[in-house]
Amino acid sequence: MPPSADFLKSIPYFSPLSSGEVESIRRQTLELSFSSGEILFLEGEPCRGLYLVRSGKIRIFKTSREGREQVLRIAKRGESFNDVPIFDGGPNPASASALEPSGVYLFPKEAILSLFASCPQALAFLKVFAARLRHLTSLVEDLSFRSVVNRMARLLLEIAVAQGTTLPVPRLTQDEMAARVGSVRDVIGRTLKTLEKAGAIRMEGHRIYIIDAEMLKKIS
Amino acid sequence: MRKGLPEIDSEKCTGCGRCVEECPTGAVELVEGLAVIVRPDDCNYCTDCEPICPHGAIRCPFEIILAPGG
Repeated sequence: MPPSADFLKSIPYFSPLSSGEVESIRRQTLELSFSSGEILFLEGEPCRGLYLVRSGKIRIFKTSREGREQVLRIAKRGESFNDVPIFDGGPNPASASALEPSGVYLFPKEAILSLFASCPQALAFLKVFAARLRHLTSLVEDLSFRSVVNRMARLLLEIAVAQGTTLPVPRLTQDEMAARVGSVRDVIGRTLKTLEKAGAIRMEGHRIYIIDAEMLKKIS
Repeated sequence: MRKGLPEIDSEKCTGCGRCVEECPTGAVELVEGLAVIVRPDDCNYCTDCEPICPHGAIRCPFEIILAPGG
């Protein structure tokens, strides 16, 4: 059964809509039910649309390469999720599973985007905001799942400049490296020593040479 | 090849001398009330002076370079 107009109007996203727009959304809405533990969708899959919890609770989570999970939030009745890919056009940034027997409404992506047909400026703003939110979600993933050694290896690979090129050589203090990888100076000092001992980098005075980029890639 | 040395911001340096006391190789001294790396050959870029400075006047940046064949 499609959601009632009153229910839709009670959702912050839809409260400013006209009766005609609410009716149009209502007609396109799918109602889905999930048993406890069932997966609604996976991170990385194409986005089907915006979800709204009708009943129960939905767990939104990221999964590391090793299979560890980090819960981002639990969506309850009246709350929406999977908003980001609607607007930035990317895949689902996180996975969703039912924490208990749950019902959700699925508003197809095209139905939501059609609400902005007369205001492309708003859509342009939302696209930027959504991209920022996606970046923050990936930052959560990075900070939750990866050690400082992993993150330092990635940072060094990202910013290193080949010797002899005309590009400006990046110059970072240990405090600045710490800020980039979400750590503190002392840990950075130890991490650089660890990477040097492993044979991935060589410290020479004020220079950090990457001598085994493949090894850094594996560590990152 | 140019030897890297800690960078001392003379605007921020108050001449408190903490870096002079702590430098393990004695490479830094106060000159006219400001910290100066007076013996650059002795500086081994241990970066100990950087966190010690109470005024954030010393920076020890690292250049990050992809070595040939790296």
